[in-house]
Amino acid sequence: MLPALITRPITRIVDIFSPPKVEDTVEQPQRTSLDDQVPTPSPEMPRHPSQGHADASGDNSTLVHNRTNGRHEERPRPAPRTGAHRPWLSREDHLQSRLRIQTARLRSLENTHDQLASEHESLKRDHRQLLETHQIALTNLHGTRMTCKEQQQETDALREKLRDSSVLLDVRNQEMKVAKTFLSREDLFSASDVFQSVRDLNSEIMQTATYFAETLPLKRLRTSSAEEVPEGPYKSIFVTLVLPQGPEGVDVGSLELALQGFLTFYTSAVVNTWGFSSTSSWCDKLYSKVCETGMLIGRVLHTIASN
Amino acid sequence: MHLISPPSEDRTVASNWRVLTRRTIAHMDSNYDDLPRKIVNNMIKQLAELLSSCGVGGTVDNADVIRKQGAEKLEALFTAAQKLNKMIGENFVSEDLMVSVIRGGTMFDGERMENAYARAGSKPGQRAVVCTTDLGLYERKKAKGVGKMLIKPKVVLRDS
Repeated sequence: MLPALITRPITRIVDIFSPPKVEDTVEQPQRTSLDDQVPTPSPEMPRHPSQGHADASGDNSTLVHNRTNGRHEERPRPAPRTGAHRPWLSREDHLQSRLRIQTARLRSLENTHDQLASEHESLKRDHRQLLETHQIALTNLHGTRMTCKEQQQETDALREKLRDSSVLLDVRNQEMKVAKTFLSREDLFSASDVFQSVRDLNSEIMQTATYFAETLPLKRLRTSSAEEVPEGPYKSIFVTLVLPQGPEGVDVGSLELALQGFLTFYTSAVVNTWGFSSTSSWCDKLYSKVCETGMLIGRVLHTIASN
Repeated sequence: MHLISPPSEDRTVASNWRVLTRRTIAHMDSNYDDLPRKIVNNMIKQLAELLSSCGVGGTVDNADVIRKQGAEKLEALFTAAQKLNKMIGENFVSEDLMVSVIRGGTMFDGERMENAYARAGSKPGQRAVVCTTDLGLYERKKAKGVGKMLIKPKVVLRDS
């Protein structure tokens, strides 16, 4: 029964100890503390196959060398323990002692294993969560890329529209510049300026007529009749004011009125005319027709052309 | 100070066309610079002819007398008339203005003219106009509208 008890734990220890790092890191401190309690087996003791070969050769320094994991440490060699000094030690006690130590180590390793397993589980869980997060992020990234692509297309379409709108705006601006010329309602002069200019012109007419009537050496040379007076807008003026006067001379007041009438009529023609060329007369006629009928200029032109 | 009611858009377009055209067309005349002298000469010729036809004149030709003694006066008058022409024809958009005279023989109408020799309390009645002594100012209305006399022309009536 005893070999079976011994063999099982030792086998497990060997299996677990096989990774050298775990053995070294976990076992080292316990080994040191327990070694103080466990007596070194005497040369008479039967040795387990798993024990170091150094024991067989009886070289204690080699044993020390193994326990320090390859480092050469020179420690004072303990005094040889012989069965004579520790007669109470038996092989069974020794093995039980070893068993306790190994069991303790085993428990410790099992605890460590459990902790590592727990950490492993936790890490696996974290890994799984990270994978899920990564997957979600990938999905989001894909969605964002699609959205970005759609928005890029929309932006391109909008840019195209903007370009079209800019071209249209330029055209409209040009049209507006032309139209603005015809939409202005601003006068360079006020109405009072115009009134004053009319009064000034009337004053100029009166002064000129007075000057001519008073300074010109005008005498009646002969009698005349209305038939001799040229036809036109001035005929009635001169026939009415100048002809009826006596043969001796011309009344200055009447002549002044006649000259004033003549100059007023003549001046009004100068003020109202568009010009003295045939084109001016034609444009004046066109504008008068537009003002009278309210027709568009195109229709007026058509009417004039038809006539 | 603005005249009458604000113009409609159609009228504004027509007025602007009128202003632009008159500004341009005046300079299209090849004799533009020589125009004042030509107009004054024409005026002197007509006046001399009228006076001669009435048997009035000195010992020399009427035209020569008028030209020697009054050409400058007539040129000054023409310049003043041309200035008013530009003012109302080329620089006045809001209203379509023109000066007005009344032809001899027209019956007197107090709405459109003013008696230059009206006596206080007397009524002109149905008398004909002999001539206009002072220019009036008239605002031409667009189609089917009625124009408005802003300054009535002063007239001399028969038997005044």
